[in-house]
Amino acid sequence: MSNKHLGYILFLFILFCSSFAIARSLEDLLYDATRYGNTPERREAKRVAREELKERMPDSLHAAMAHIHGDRVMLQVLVMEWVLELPSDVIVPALLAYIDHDRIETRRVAIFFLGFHQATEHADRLFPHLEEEQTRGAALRTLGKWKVPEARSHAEKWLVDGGERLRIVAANALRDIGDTKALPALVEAFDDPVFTVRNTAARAVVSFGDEAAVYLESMDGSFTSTADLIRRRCLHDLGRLTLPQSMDKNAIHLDGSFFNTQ
Amino acid sequence: MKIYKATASFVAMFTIWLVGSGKVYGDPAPLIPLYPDHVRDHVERALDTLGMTSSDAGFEKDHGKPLWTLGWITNTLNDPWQLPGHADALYTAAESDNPEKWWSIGAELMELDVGLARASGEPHDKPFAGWDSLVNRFLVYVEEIDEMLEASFGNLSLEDRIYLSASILASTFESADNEVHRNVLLEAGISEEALDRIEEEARQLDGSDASLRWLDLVNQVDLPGLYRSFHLFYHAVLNIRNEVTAIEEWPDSPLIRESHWGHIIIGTMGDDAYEGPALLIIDPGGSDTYRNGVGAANGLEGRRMAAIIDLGGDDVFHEEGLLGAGSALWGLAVVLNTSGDDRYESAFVGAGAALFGGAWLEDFSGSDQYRGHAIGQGAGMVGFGFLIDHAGDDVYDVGFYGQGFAGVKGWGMLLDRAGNDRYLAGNRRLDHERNDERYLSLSQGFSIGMRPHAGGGVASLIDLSGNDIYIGDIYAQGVSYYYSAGFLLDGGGHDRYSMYQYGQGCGIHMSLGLLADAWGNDSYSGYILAQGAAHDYSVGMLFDHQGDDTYTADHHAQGRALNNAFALLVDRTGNDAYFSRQRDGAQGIGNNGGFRDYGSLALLIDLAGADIYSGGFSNSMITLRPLYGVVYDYKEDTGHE
Repeated sequence: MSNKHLGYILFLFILFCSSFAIARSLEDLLYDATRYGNTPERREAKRVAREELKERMPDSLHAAMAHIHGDRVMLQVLVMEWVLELPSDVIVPALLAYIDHDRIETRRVAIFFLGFHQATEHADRLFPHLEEEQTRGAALRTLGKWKVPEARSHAEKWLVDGGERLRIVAANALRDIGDTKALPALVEAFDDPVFTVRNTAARAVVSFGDEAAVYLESMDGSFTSTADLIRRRCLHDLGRLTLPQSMDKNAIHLDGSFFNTQ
Repeated sequence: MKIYKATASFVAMFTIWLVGSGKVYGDPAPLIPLYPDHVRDHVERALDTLGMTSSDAGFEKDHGKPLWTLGWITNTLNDPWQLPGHADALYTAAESDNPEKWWSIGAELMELDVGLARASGEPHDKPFAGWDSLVNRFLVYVEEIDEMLEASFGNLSLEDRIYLSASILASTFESADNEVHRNVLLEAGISEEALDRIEEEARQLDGSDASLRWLDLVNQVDLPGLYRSFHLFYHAVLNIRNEVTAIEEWPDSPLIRESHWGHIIIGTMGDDAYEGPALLIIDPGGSDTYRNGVGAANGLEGRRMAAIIDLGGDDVFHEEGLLGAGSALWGLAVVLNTSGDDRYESAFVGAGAALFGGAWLEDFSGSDQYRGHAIGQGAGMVGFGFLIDHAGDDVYDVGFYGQGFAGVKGWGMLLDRAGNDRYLAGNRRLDHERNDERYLSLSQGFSIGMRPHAGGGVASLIDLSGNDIYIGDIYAQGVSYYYSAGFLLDGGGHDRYSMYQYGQGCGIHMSLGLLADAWGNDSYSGYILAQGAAHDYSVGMLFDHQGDDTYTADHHAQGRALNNAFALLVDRTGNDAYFSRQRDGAQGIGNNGGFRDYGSLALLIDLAGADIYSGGFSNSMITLRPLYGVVYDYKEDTGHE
């Protein structure tokens, strides 16, 4: 082998090695990307790291999911940004890899993030997570966002039997699924002990439009006072009821749509 | 009869003029109770218009489940109506001229199971019998307190203590990026190894393991025991103060007595200069200077206790090192300053500030100035910091973490009992990546936890009277972050409150913030999340009882609940003005909770006066606002409008 060939091989070897030296670990990049940018250098490093992480998808997302259970809030924020920004063909396959992860926190986050992309064909993989208390809310929310009809009965059950937040998730899931068969269950929730559930159910009802109005009007007189107040405000938001605008002292006025379904 | 009619007519016209001009509202309103029955009745009526009752404010907010938090804070998140009661208790204690009430409320709100009766029940009321006798009696106490401290710090090694100190101080003073600050920490007993370890831990993508180890070490500090030893030390010093007050003959030159715990120095009536650490300095008068570790306890360097008793003169307490007068690290510090216009200047920590310890600074008269970088003027982290100023027009200036600040397991109280005071917090550390050209204040009744692992403590800035000015920037004036409680309570005067983001009765991330002002024509100026505002499962409240008040903000303000929170602004009387640039982001309004997709509860309650709302809301009307809130402007039906 001539010196010329040896020199060429050596050049290739150095090039090969330097390519490894230049490629920073994903963990290092995630650190820079989520570090508090309290100096110009750190802010620039953050910008560069975020660009490179995006270029190295989906590996970056996998690296981030390996640490998502931890206490670094900015890592969760970063992944949320990716979930909202990047296309489904990048995000969905990567997240699906974590919905059966050993760590419950990781499972829950992956299932929750999937709700921001349409991947209804994977609904069957989410139903088992309805059985687990700590993933139930995320699974129900995502199934709702995917408008999976089979999730309605689960949502109706948890609208009654769940804790406060799960009842809220259930009401929103019923709204998202969009099946008006859920109207009776949602209207029942007008009597929930907590306004967060009552009013979320009302928002869901209003989202059903004319069918909801007809249903509510047909039930005139069969409500408790609290539920009737919600019913009338629903009808107001649906344009079916004009509440009197009294100018009397201390009269009550509505400032636009109460349940604000826009 | 004509005279009677004319007189009656004049009285009626005069009354209309007075009320109309907003000049007279009867006697100044007391601050407490913050939430009396007649206000409660209106709030319940406002809730009723929303189809709610008081219990609806108790929607679930305890979603963080930290490993450690104060129980009452979690309970109050779930029943926000308890918050005014806690403020009442705090103010009642502050208003009392009995320091034992201040100690008691500290123990109560920090949930310390302590018996404080022993120290307070054994006053030294003996006549002065010579310095040796006095010093010997003091040292008996010191020996006992030293043993109590050792027991309180448990099995923590010196290395553990250095590490715990570094964990707070390295980030507070950014020692990784600032060589000068790093050297200051090293000179105070923090090791290179500890600083390196902290920097290494900060590089972890998941800091949980390090945080849990930290919390485990912190949990080994016996806080009730620490509080008891602090209380006993305070009384030991107070008793000396009471005993020496009557002395008329003082030495011509300072007397110095050595002890195992440091020097005891008896000063002169002249202008003395004290330099270097001492266990106790007693100075009878003169304009004195205190420098280089005087009045500061540093357990890392074997000086667990430090005290100063100064009976007169315009004194200067100036510190370039880490710990200024009235501050403690793994120890106890007490400064009692009887009179004079004094200056307390700390380049770093000082003036009633404690880390893993207790610090008490009490100034009884004079117009004083307090200045410090961070952790000062009533600040505690795993410890208790009290700053009490009884009189004078005082100036308080801190960079951040001060003027009533509490970190994890911390109690910080600044109590100013009289005078027209100025409070400034900021101008030291920029709020990078959020408000790049603004400064973090983290002060003026601000507490913060260690999210997600541990809650914070209780922070309060209490000013009983005077026309006061409060200036902050980011996080200031009755605000807290993550399972903590921040209070700003002002007993009266025409006050000005100014800050930019997060404050003026504001809770952030499962936390409690409250601002209350009794009377005066006050102005509240903020930009985002201010003036009875709350974000993310939090509770924020602002109460103003009396006066023609002006509220100004951009958005997320004035009874604004954001992301499943509860916000309340109650203004009882006066012709008030509520200005906000963004109509849909302020004044009795909630939001849809972002991805959570459900509402909040927001109440703006105004119970009298001719008020102005930038949102266009009418006087004597109840306006329901989306997701879910109300502007409840009530006017008594007099029947002759």
